[in-house]
Formats: sequence, structure tokens, C-alpha cells
Amino acid sequence: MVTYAIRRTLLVVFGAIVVSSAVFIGVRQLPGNAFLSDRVSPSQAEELIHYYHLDEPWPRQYVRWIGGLFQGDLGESFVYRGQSVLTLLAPKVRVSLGLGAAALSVTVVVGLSLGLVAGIRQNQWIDYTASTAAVVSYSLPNFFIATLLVLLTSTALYRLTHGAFYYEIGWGQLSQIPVPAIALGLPYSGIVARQMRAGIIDELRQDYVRTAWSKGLSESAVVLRHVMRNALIPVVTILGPVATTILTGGLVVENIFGIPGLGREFINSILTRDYNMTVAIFTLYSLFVGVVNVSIDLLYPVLDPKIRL
Amino acid sequence: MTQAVLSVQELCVEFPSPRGTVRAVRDVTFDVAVGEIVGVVGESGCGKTVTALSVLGLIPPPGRVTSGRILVEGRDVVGMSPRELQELRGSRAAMVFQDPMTSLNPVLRIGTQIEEAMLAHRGYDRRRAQKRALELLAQVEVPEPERRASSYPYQFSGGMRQRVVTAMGLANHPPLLIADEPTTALDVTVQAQIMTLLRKLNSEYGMALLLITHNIALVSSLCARVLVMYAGQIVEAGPTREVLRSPQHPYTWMLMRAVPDLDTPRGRQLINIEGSPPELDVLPSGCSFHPRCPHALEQCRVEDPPPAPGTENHLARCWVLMRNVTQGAPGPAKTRSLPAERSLDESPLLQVIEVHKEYLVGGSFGRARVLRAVDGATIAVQPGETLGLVGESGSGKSTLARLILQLERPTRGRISFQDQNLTTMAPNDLRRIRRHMQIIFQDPYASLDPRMTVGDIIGEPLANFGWEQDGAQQRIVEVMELCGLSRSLIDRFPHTFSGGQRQRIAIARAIALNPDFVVADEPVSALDVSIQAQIINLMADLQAELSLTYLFISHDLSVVRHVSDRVAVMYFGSIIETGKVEAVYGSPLHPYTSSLLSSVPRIDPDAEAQRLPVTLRGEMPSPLDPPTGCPFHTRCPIAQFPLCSRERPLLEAKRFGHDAACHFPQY
Amino acid sequence: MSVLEHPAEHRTRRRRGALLANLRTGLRRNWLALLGIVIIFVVLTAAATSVVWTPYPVGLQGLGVPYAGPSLAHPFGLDHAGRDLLSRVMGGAAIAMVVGVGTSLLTAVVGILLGMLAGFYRGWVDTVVSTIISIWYGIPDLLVALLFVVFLGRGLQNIIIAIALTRWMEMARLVRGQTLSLRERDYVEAARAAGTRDRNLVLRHILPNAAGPIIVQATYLLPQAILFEAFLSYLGLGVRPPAPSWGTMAADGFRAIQFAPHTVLAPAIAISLSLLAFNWVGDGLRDAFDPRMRQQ
Repeated sequence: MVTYAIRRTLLVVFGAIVVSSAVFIGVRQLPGNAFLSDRVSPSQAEELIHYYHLDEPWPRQYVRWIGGLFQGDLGESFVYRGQSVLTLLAPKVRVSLGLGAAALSVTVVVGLSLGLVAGIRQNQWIDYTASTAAVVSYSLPNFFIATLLVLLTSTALYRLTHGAFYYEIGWGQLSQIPVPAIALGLPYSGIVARQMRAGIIDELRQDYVRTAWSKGLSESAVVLRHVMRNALIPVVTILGPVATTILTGGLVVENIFGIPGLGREFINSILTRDYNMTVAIFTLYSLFVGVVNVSIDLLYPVLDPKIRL
Repeated sequence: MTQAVLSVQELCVEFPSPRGTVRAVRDVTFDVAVGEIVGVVGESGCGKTVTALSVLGLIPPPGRVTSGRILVEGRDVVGMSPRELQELRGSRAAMVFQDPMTSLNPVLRIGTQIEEAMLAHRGYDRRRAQKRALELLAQVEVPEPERRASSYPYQFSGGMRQRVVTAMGLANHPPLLIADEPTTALDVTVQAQIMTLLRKLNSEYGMALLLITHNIALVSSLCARVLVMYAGQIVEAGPTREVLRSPQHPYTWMLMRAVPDLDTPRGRQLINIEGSPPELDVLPSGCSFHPRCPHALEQCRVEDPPPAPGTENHLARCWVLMRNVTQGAPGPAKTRSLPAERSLDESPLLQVIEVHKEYLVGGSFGRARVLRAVDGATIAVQPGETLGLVGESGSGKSTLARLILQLERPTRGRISFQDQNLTTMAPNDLRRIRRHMQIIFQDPYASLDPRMTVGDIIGEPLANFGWEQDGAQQRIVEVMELCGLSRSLIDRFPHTFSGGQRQRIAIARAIALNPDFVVADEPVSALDVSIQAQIINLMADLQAELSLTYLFISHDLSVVRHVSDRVAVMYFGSIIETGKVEAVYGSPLHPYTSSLLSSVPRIDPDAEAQRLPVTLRGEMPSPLDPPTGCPFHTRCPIAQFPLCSRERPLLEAKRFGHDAACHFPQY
Repeated sequence: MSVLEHPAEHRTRRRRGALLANLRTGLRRNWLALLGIVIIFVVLTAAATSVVWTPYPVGLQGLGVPYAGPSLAHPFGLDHAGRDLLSRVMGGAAIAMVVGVGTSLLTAVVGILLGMLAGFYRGWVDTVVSTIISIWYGIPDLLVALLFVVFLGRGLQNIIIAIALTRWMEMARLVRGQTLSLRERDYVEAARAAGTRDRNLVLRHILPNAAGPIIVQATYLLPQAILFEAFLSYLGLGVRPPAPSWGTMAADGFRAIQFAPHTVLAPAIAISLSLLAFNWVGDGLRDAFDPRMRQQ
């Protein structure tokens, strides 16, 4: 299993580099640069261009970049000059990862519970309600849900409680985590719930469940000890793509809630043409997504003893 | 009189369905006395499994008991609360199910699963349960219980799993154990082991056993009393000896003659029970068997017969009763003409010489291991004959079939057909040869494309070889009628047909091009007993009419004996004995063959009582880890060391026309 | 022979694809799916109609007071530039449908091709394709699409390609899995033994039997694509204004949510209903194609 983890991680790193390289090269083909603004005189602009090696042919820039990559240096920001991209991004990485983890927890907890309940009471009213709730949740764009939540918490709730309850959007306090986490994680809980429900329904029909009943086990023992673990296996399969989508969907939520994370920075960097930042953020995102996927894959052998990686 | 441990009284179970109510169990009444072994025999759909499930209250919804009582130790199961049922299950009555591969939870350890059977009921704590679990594993003869208890199901073979499931059933000393087809999915030798185990448990613990099976011979071997079920009713019941020696219900009578047995004379044709069992939502009027019964009277059509009392508790639901039938019994008299002696000088149609097939298994990058599915097999098939290929699961017979048809290429060795070397042939030439050799698969539900009509399925080989529309249409209809399918069925889809009919379609497809050679890979193993006879007879008729040569592969020794002229026995990837059927079955040379033959239960109670099984130790070794020398030496009762573990015996003629691969053939 | 007389024969089914027969029984059981079909029909009609006619020209500004509420003349009201929202929603339907169907088709074609190749030929082809799929899964989808659109320009075509770029792997993986398992089925082996060529094995046996899950997946792709486009529009990278993309309309409308909620509600409800409809239909189709349901 260790060899598998190492192999996959290497693949992830390789993939991230490949994709980032594509972005790097693509970006260098674009016309214009970060220094074409009123506050910079043409001679200063020339100096800056030279300082950032932007006047060199792009293959040389690429080699320089790769070299820097292996030393852990992602270059300097074009906009915040003199500052290393990594130091600038570090706090934002923490923020985005924090939000992502919180959202993923919401997704998993809500999704599994909803799916479990719907699955063991198939075709009863509680199943219909839960299933419909699930479908509705992933049929609404998450910026819709996010905006509604913002309005709800900051405006409506304030008015309703006559100023007693005030939610300040932003980041920094523990109390500010739940709302954006819910906004980001709730839509995908529907997908998890649906998969869980399907898994449970499938497993309940299996022979080994009949054997369990025949031994005189109670319903909770049958469901929790026998069915759950088997039903979780197909859920883990979709958890990877879901986690990826949460990480990247954070972009939108960060925007709406004014959260200073990687997503906001990514858009900013494109708008301000701070391409070193863009490439760096992209690389980081690819790495995170890849690592999360590998970690989730490592869950398989825990659940299913037949799988030995 | 001691109270019966199980008393089922006028039980009726129904399943509401969109097509109408399915009456799965109708008016079933029987008792199982303390310590008695009772067998329930019937084909699929007869209601035997539903009856068994209802004893534990395990009928799958939407089915329900509509009337009747089920008394387990005097307490009625029908109408019990879930709580009461929970207490009953596993402690007063336990069940062993059919498929050992799916009956165990794949993600929990064996030990845990056995322990929870005890922990679910009072009186055990963790430690005691663990100890007892190990004792139970020892009782069911699982070697190395401590190590096995912490293993997972996927690490066990089918026979081992079935032992584990039995151990779970035994855990709380239930007075009643219900076994639903416990050995159907197992090999003959393993089946013999499980049967011995069940017998032992019954005699040592006085545990009553209700054995559900379609295999009449099994009943003969184990059960004191037998019940025959058809279309949801018990049509005959009585002491096993009585029922099998003089069956009173025509169905029982015909069923016994539709099954080939190792003792029946070879020339005797199997009885065809025409048609198939009725759909349980559209039952025939009167006696449910009358549409298929050659003795049916007008009364049978009108009125459903009640159980008619006979001697010694031997009942049968029939207006006619076989003892009253003097003549017109459907003819076993018609004997099949056995093929004339063929000279062995004639050039064989198919020759397989030292063929090997190896697979690489396991992870990449050097961790791969070699799996030898076929390990040096040699056989020859003469034109016009039927060569039977017998072997247990894992012997490699299916792989060999696919190699012969070039559906896979052998790793080593030579296969020649009509003197042409198939292994070195170019793909296009190979395609052309295909019109001469065809295959019939085991599973009639998987061998027909569900999205194609019957006409398309049968017509596909014709289209491949350039038959144009009209000629093809004609040929399709011709072939369908040859196989007993009316031409009006040509536009139907496979899912509307029964298993037997689908197999007919598969056979029609195989003979469409008028091939010389047909490989039949377990063609009747997935079919009900009464349908098996139909298909076997059909294949025999086709062989005579079209001069076909068959390679008939099966694990069922009786069937192979009945259909084949010569037979080859396969073990662990190689052929270990070949010869004429009478020779091999009558005086086998290889110890595996004799053990195999001795493990097959007989239908006739006297013959069965005299049978002395030679039980083999352990199970077939893993193909990833082959034994040195003779592959059979690990289980052989007469192996002598060091020769047998060092040198692999070659397949050689030990008697005229009778080859064996053994250092110590049993002359 | 008496096989003909038997009652089991008389369960007739007329000559019709088993595919269609499953569909009807399955969908009938699933009323949500029927509701979904109705909604889709409405959306499609609106989309198709908008190509030739809308109550008011989609880009015409100043039809009245900006942010005017719903009225008889303008059932959905006006937006911030005084444009008729009903017409714009209809136009948005067209864009959504084009994006949805376009992405679905493109993804399906690429996914089926690669998936079948990998599944049928296995060996090195499979290793290569599977590795590419694995690596591609690790690419953050939204970012790639963003960059693609930023670099190559906005416009319907590029958006479709961008979204397909992020979604093809799921289809490829599905098709590969289906091909791998169907390939081993007895009836495929039987066809091979009967002399059928590879090409026909795939086209006549494997593809039709894999069609069910493929169609289900393709159906689910539509709402994903529409959602994705809405995201892009929200971030300002969707179809160029003044094209009436629902996402752009929602983004614009959010600013006015306090005093003119109808400007955001109209497109948001349109998006949500469409997504719901396709998801319900997808669920219905999935149930219809489920082989276990078929065996009743």
C-alpha cells in the first residue's frame, strides 16, 4: 500500500507539473502584461519586464521556472513586487483548505445521514422527502444558495432578531465558518446522499444480509455493522470528484462571502495579469486536488479487505 | 408422542404482483420430528425455498403468509412480532443458504460473523463467544481454526465457506437446521464432505435437518423422509425408501426416470416431461400437473386431488396413482442406439496436444504470478463420437473449451482440427474454419444477446458467412423447427423465454451453419432436471440426424456417462484419464476418477446404502501454487513418496484404448 | 412438437426494441421523470421559438422603467437596462440548450471513442488511456475552463469545448467499464465463435447493450453543463453580453435582490427548474434501464 501511495503521489505531482506547464506557456503567449498601467512609466515598465525575465524567449523562461519549482520557489508576484508568491499565498491556502475541509464535512455528514435514512426506508414517505431534497440540492447553482444564505444571515436574521444576531461575512472567527461551509457543501451532499441510498438498497438485497437476519440480529446491527461498510464502498468512488468540485467551487463561494482565499486570488490575478500568481495558484490547486483524490483512494483498502493496494 | 420440532399446517404463501397474485405455496402440511432428517425435492419455482424461508419469517416482501400455521417447538411463527422472530432465528431454528460465495459478508472476518450469531442471543460474552467460535470451526472440520477465524471470506473456497455458514447455524445448538440447496454450488467431492458433515451433526447432536434440494440422489443418501413439491404443493410424501422405490405420483415417477444415474443402463433414453412447470400466477385448473401428465383423466382437469393416504404415511396427490397404471407407461423401453464401434485408426477430427494456458495475475511491476489454467492437456476427438470431458470446478475444462475454439490462444502446445494446425493459423483462415466448429454455453440467460430477436441471433452466423436474406430466413426456420421451436417465435426477444427454450435457441444457433464439431460447455447444468432430459435427448437426436461430433463438458458424472461414447477426466489443468465410458466408469485406473465416482450419490436407496465413498483430503490446490510432481499427490489416498511428489506421470495407455496418468494405476 | 402449446409461450410481446419497452414501463412508474419531460418540453419550445420570435427583441433596452416589476405587458418584468425579462429568459433557454446538448454530444463522442478503445483492446491502449484519465481527474475543472475561456476567448463554441474538456473522463471511464464487462459476456463470445468480426462485435453487441448507462450519463451531463455555464457567467466569463445567458442575468440580478427580486428570480428559477427536470429524467431513465427492474 505504501508503494501505491508513493506511486500515485508521484503521478499527481507529474500531472500537476504538466498541466501547470501548459498554463505557464499559454500565459506567456498572451499579449500585454501586468505593467501596462498608468502608474508605471514606459522606462520603468521596461526595467520590470527585464527583471521578471519576460523579455526572454519563453523556453528559457520555462526552464527557469521549472528550476525554481524544484527549489520550492514559485517566483515573485508581478503586482506585489518584491514578494515571493509562496509567502503571499500561504495564508490564503490555509483559508481555502479550511473552508474546503469544513464544506466536505458538511457534505459527508449530511449526505450519509440522508442517504442512510432514505435507503433503509425505501419507497416510504421519508424516502421520497429525503430523495427529493437531495435532487433539489444539487439542482440549484451553489451561488444561488450562497447568496440566499448571505441575505438570510446578514440581513433577514438581523432584522428578525432586532439586531441581536448579526453575522458578519468574512473570515477569521470560528463562527464565520458554518455558513459558507454549508453554502459550499450542501449542494454536493445531495449527490452523496443519492449514492449512499443506492448503495444501501443494493446491499440490503444481498444474500449475506439474509444470513444476518437468519442469525437473529436486530435491525440496527444488520444495517450498521453489515450493510454500511459495504454500501460505503461505491460512495467513496464518487467522493473523489465531489471533493475536487468542492475545492474548485470554493472559488465562487469565496467571492460571495468575501473570504480571502485562493479562489478570489486566482480571479484577481487573471484580472491584474499577475501571471506568476496565476500559474502558482493553478499548480497549488492541482496538487491539492490530486492529493485529496489519492487520500480518498487510500480509503478503499480500509473498507474492503479484498483490495490490497 | 414427542412433539415435532417443526409442524407446518396448511401453509399458504402469496406474492402480489402487477401480473396477478403468485401463489407460491399452497396448502403445505408436514412435520419434522426431533432429530429427523426430512428432504424436500422439487424443481425451481415449486415453492420449496419459500416454504423454508417462511419457517424463519424471512419471506421477502411483498410476499406474505395468507393462511396456515408454522409451529416451531409448538410456537406459531406466523404472526410473531419482530422481537419474537429475532429470538427464534439462530437459536431455535437456523438456516444454511445455497450460495456460499454470497452468503457471507465480504468485509467482516469469519470469526466475527460466527461470534455475532451467539452474541445476538443471551448467555454469551465476548470471550466465551470467541472460544466457542473456534470450537465450532473445529467441529465443522475447518483446518487451523485460529488462523481461519481472523480471515476474510474471500480467502476461503466454496466448500470452506459452506462449512463456516454451517458453523454459524450450529452456534446456539438449534434443534432445527434448515439447509436450502447447501451443496448445489459445490463440487461432487466437496458435496460428499458436506453431506458427511451434516450426517455427523445430526447423529451427534440430535439436530433435526430439513434439507431442500433438487437432487433426488442426495435425498436418497441422507433423508429418512421425503416430500416432493410441484407448483407450490406437496404432491407426494413418505419414507424415502418407499417413495423412491414405488413412487405414486406421475411427476415423481417421471422425474426419477428423467435423471441419469450411474446405475441406469446406458442405452435407456431419458424420459421427456413435456412442457415446463406452470407460472404460479396462472395455475392450471384442477391438478396442476395435468397438462404435462400422460395419465391425466378428465377428473384431473377439473378437480384438484387431495393427498391420498397410502401405506406407512406415504401420500400422493393424484387421482390416478401409479400403482393403478398397468400399461402405457411412457416408454423407457425405447432404447437409444449406441454408436457402432469405431476403429481408433481413423484420423481424429480434433487433436489437442500438450496444450498450456498461463495467465499473469496480480499487480504489475514484477509482482505478477503465473496462473496455470491448463497445464499440458492432451485429448483427441474422433469424428461422429461424443467425447465427454469431466472435471470439477478449477480443473480447467472451460478454459480448454475456449482454447479449442480459439477464443483464446494457448501459451504452448498444438491444436489441430481436420489436420489443420489452428494455433499457427492466420486470423482470416481461422474465421473460415469457425463455420465447422461451434459452441453451446452453460448459461442460457447469458449466452443470448438480450437486444436481439431470436431470428437475428440464429441468423448471425449465417450473415457472417455470406448467406443472403432468403436462404438465411429459410435456414433459420428449418433449424428452429429441428430444435423444437415454432417458427412464430422468430421475432421474440430472449427474455420472454424459459431456460430450456433459450438453450434450444443457443443450440439452433450452433447448428445453423451445419458444423462438423460442437463443443457443449455444461449445456444442461443450469437447467431444471425435467428440462435437462429434453435438451439431452434433443442433442442426441441432432447428432444422429446431422452427423455431429460433440465434446460434452460437464461436472455431472451421470449425465456424461449417459451421453458420451468416450470420456476424459480432467484434474488441475491436465487430462488424467481417458477411455471408453464403460471402461472408465466400470474400472477406473486413476485414484481421482475412482474417488470421484464413489462420491456421487445414487438414486436407488439400496445402491446408495452400499456406496462406499472414498473421501479425499483437503481441496484442489491453488493454480497459483501448483504441487510438484503429480498434481494429485496432495490428496491422493494411495500416493507413495518420494515418487509421486517428485515425478509427474505422463498420460499413457495402461490398457488398450484406456489411458491414465498415474504411477500406480489401479488395475 | 408440443413446446408450442405451452402457456409460457403466450406471453407475447410485439416486435419492438426491448430498449423501448423498458423505457415505457420504467418511466410510467416514475412520475417525477414525466414531470421532468414536461418541463424540458416547455424549455425546448421556448428555446426553439426564441430563435425566430420573442415577445420583444432580446437586446432592446428602455422598454420602460428599469427594474419594473411583472405586469401584463411584461409578465416577468424588466431588468436593470429596461429589457423584457421574459424574452431574455427565452433567449437564455436557447443558449442553455445549445450548451447542454453540445457539451453532452461532444463529451459522449470523445468518451465513447476512447472508452471503447480502452475497454475492447485492453493492453497498452488501455494503460495509456487509463493513465490519461487518471491524470485528467486531478485537474481542477473550474480553473481549466476559466483559463481556456480567458485565453481563447468567450463564445458558445469555446465554452462548450471548455466544459467538455472537464467532463469527458467520466464518460470514458463509464464506457470503458461497460466495454470491459460486456466483452466477457457469453453472447459476445458466442458471436465471436460464430465468426463475427471485431468491428461488428462492438457495434452490434457491445454498444447497444451499453447504450442504457451511456444515455443516462449523457442525460446527467446536460444539467452539469448548464450549471457550469452559469458559473462561468456568474464570474463574468460566460457568453458575451448582451447575450441573455441565464447565468449572466442571475449575476446582474443579484445586485438588485433587495428591491427587485424578480430580476434574479426569473433566471434562477429557470436554471433550477431545468436542472431539476433533467436530473429527474436522468433518474427515471436510470431506473428504466436497471436490469433488475427488467426481470419482473
